[in-house]
Amino acid sequence: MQNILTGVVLHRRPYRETSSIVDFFTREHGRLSAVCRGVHGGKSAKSQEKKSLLQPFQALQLVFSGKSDLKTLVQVESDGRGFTLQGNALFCALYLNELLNRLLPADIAFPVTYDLYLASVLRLSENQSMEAVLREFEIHLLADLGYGFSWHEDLQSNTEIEPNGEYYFTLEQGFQLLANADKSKNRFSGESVLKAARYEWDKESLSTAKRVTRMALKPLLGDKPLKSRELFQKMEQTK
Amino acid sequence: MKFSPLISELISSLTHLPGVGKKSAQRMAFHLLERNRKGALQLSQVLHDAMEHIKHCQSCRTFTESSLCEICDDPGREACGQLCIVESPQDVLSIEQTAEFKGRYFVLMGHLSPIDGIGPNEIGLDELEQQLASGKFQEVILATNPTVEGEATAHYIAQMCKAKQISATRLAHGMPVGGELEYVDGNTLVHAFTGRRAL
Repeated sequence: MQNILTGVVLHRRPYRETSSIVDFFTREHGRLSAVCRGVHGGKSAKSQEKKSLLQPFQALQLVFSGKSDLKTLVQVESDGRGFTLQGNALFCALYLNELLNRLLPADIAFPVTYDLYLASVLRLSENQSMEAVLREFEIHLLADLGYGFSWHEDLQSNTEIEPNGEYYFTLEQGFQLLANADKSKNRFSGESVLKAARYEWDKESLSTAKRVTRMALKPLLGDKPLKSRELFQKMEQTK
Repeated sequence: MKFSPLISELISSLTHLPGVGKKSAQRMAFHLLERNRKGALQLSQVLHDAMEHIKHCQSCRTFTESSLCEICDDPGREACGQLCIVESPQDVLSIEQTAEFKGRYFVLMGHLSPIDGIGPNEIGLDELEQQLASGKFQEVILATNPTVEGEATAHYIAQMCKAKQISATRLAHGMPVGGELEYVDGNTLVHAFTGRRAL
């Protein structure tokens, strides 16, 4: 199997004395894990180079061997420059990694998500609006994983969402017109939903998208909350 | 052949050591039994004492059997007003060997790694915050590893320092001493370029 794959590192954990088990997100095969030898404590130039390449946010060309679920990394080369992320952009990118690591099923290719991931990390490294990047990625990821719903249509009447209407959100289904002056928390203005659908971001549409994607992601993530969110919560407290 | 229960237990206990599998554990067990009982008894005694008594230093979180480690106990170290933040006790040792740094340390015992479920509280940042609030330190030196997680940790702590108006500095990234440019990996070279200094 001398296939060259393109991919990025999602996560590394130490394995044995000098190896790591690395979770990759490859364009061709989706998420896969591999043992990478000689990446800890090695002092040779080669192991230094490997170490510096096998960091997250660096597009790589990879060659794996092995037939089982856990592959062995045979060769790694850089596929373009690594993204330099700093500060909050780095936290956002770590959030993307955690999201992918938790949600992507192993060994199923998601080429569009992969491309969007690289584009999102690039946007983060250029310090573009972080919230917009994250929301667009989440909306797309939900759809690509098969949990998508329409941000344009009312799910009961199948008509366009009214900008003046108030809607509530049902998991895995979509938006529905709110009949009366129900004071529930699950309540979004039609205008903000439509704006989110067009990726037209302002304060209200960002908040709508954030609340909706959180609700939609929650059952997929299970009981364990996402740790990267803690980084942001604390940050906001200290401000 | 089956070993007696005590020998089996000894072998399986030895496999708790890192890098020791069943075969090496067997070799160790028989070596100690046949050739070095005295040493083994001493090992068991020290191992027991160490596991019972070694705790984290109350101030810097490194391993020590007293409530404060030697460095934190030294008033001269505190007077300097610098706090160096490292990931592991081994890092303290490496920096101490250079004899360059005269301040105190704070050992995180890890780094922020959301995927592994390690957030700010797991690496004692709440404790660090209290120490920063005490006003003893004028400068915080961030000596976490130059990995993505180390960078994230450094940034997080830098923000904490900013809120408390303490200056935070990061160790430089660059070329290894005695290295050859030809063999330096690309990412390090990029860091070395962006962090270049006027002569």
